[in-house]
Amino acid sequence: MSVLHKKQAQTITDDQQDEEFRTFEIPGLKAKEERKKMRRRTKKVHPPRHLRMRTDQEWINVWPTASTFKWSAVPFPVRQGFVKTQTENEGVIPGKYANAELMKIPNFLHLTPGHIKKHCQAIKKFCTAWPRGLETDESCEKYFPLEVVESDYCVSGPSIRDPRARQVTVKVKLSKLDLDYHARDKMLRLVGNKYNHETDELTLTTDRCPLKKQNHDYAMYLLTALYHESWAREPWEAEKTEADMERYFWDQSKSKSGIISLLTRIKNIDKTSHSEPDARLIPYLPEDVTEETLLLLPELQTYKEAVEDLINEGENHTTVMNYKNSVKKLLNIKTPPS
Amino acid sequence: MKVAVVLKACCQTVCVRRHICGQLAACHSALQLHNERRPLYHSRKYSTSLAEQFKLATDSKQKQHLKTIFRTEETDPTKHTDVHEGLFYTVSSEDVKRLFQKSLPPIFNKQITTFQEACLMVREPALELFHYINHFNYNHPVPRFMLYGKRGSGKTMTLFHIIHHCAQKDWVIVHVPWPAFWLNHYKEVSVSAHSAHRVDLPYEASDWLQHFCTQNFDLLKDIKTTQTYKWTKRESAAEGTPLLELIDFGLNRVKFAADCVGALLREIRVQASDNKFRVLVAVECVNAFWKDTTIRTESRDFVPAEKLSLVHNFKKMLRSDWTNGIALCTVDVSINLLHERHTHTPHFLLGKKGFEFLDPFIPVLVPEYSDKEVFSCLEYYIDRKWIQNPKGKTDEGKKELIYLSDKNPHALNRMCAPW
Repeated sequence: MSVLHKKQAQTITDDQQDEEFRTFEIPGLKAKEERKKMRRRTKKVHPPRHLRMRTDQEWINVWPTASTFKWSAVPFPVRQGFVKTQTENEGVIPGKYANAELMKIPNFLHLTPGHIKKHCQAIKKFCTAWPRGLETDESCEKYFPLEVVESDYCVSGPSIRDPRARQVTVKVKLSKLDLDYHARDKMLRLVGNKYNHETDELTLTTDRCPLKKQNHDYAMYLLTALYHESWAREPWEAEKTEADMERYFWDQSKSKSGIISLLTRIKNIDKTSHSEPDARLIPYLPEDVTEETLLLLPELQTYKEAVEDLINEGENHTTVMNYKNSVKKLLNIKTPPS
Repeated sequence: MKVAVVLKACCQTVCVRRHICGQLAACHSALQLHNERRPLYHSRKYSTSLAEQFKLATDSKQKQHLKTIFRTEETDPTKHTDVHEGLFYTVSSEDVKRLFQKSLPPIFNKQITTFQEACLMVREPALELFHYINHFNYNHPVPRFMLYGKRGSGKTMTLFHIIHHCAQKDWVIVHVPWPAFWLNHYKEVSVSAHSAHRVDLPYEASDWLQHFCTQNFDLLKDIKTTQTYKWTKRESAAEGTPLLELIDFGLNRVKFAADCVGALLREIRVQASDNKFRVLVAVECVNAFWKDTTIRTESRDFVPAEKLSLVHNFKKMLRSDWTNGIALCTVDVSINLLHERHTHTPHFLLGKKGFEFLDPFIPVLVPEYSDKEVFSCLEYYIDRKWIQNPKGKTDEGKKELIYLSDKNPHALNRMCAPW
């Protein structure tokens, strides 16, 4: 205030030095004319719309099409967001009012059962009747084992083409194809990760050609080629060794030759040891031990199954105990009385 | 180590470690604790009422009756039966020195000094194996048993129990303690004198010879070689040389120690098949036989353990082409890398090669403690003052210890240490 006063005084002195005598005004002495304060007039805000909604209103009218989340039009409490600490927002996840997180995410408020019903009613006139005899999923699968998935895209834009529209996905269950053990194994090796072990489903997706029709044809060609290739037996397939096996086969393992030589040795020992009581000899071995006679023995068969289970199924309490029991039977080792 | 137990041992020979003040303070508090624990006598005078006297007498009788039995007087492992299951038996100090001294796990070794005795628990897998050992037809080729179980479940202690059992029966013990050490804790590596594509660990071989000699000293006196072994142009062991001499040669000429092991094991196999004695082959952590060592070849590849002459020779002991013996192995998950410890089952640990080599074997599970065993073990720890905290002796405390350790013997031992 005082600085301003000084400046004013200086300008006056420059212009009217000789005309008037400068008077000194003591600030605060004279009563100042009070200025009227301007108050911005605030617009009256209506209460949010959801407070005025009736419980039996038609929701389709409130939310007819897809739109961003509007807090005032949604008549239920909803929270969204992340609270970093207990001090932030008092540890409570933010509510719907002015919540940007709720606006970011897509909502399905335009797809309620009521909406769907209305949509269906509207497009019903374009539909044909569902074929008779295909009421269940099983019957659909049975009569139409091949599933083809294609998509059309409809946008309002300068171009009606959509690159995603050319994709074609063909799904088929391997059990529906006519394959033997070899063909199935070869098929699995050929398709690699396109086979889902849990659902037994083979999925081929093609998008290399520009048109949907071309991609569909290519997928069909692929499937045909895979099927026939699986059945074909190439000369080099005979060179398959144990390391190439898809699972453990006891008949082709070292274990088999080991067991046969062991049992033969035991039989030879049993023949010569006359002093031993019969209970300590291995009772089930036939007089002439050859590979063929041994392989027919039920003890050896259970042992074989136990080893194959142990390796193919993986080790768990049951498979290990089965293996243990089968070996004990094989070598005539008595279980302790419990 | 428990302070009070140390204190008990060195109360007379005041040898408290003075350089650690904290320990000293702990010792003082433990001393007080120890004093408190002297038998207290009732200062209360007996009541003149007959009814009260009777009640007092029956109460004390019941208490005596309820005292848990955790120890058995039967120290001969050949006589252990189902009756002794879950009870501790004491291994005499001579047997510990002779059989286990150099091969015990370090924790148990320490425990022997702390407890001033070596006790093993009679457990179900050992009893099962005793049954197999007692009822096996020894004319048949060597059967192979495989102890498997979670870490710390007591595979090694079961093995020691069986070794003790067989040693008591005067069997020759071929014990390989933790061959996994050969993979990376070797002192010296040399090309085998016997065959150029194998690798010798001469010092480890001579250590083993020493171990074998201490375990079977009395038996070895009578055993002589059945064929001539030629070491060099001048040195050889003629037919009829006592095995002790063979071992002595291996210990003196370390270069030939590994070959001596081979010759020794061959003699054992041949003579056992001739019915001269019975043999227990006990190999801990047999899955180490199919791992890689940290030794490098000239082409910077790791040498597989199978190329070690020691492993090569011990694998021959596990083959079923000889008779009059038992092969007993354990598989251990702890030598696997951290990301390869999915399960503790034999096929997973042995791998394809190992399984094929040992197949058919009889897997024997060493489970965690049963309810009976865990309580017996806790009582033993209380008796040995391994559990000193009065709260550890209450039912609540015991329950907590059992819960925390999940009945795993090793975990229980460690869990009780600070109590």
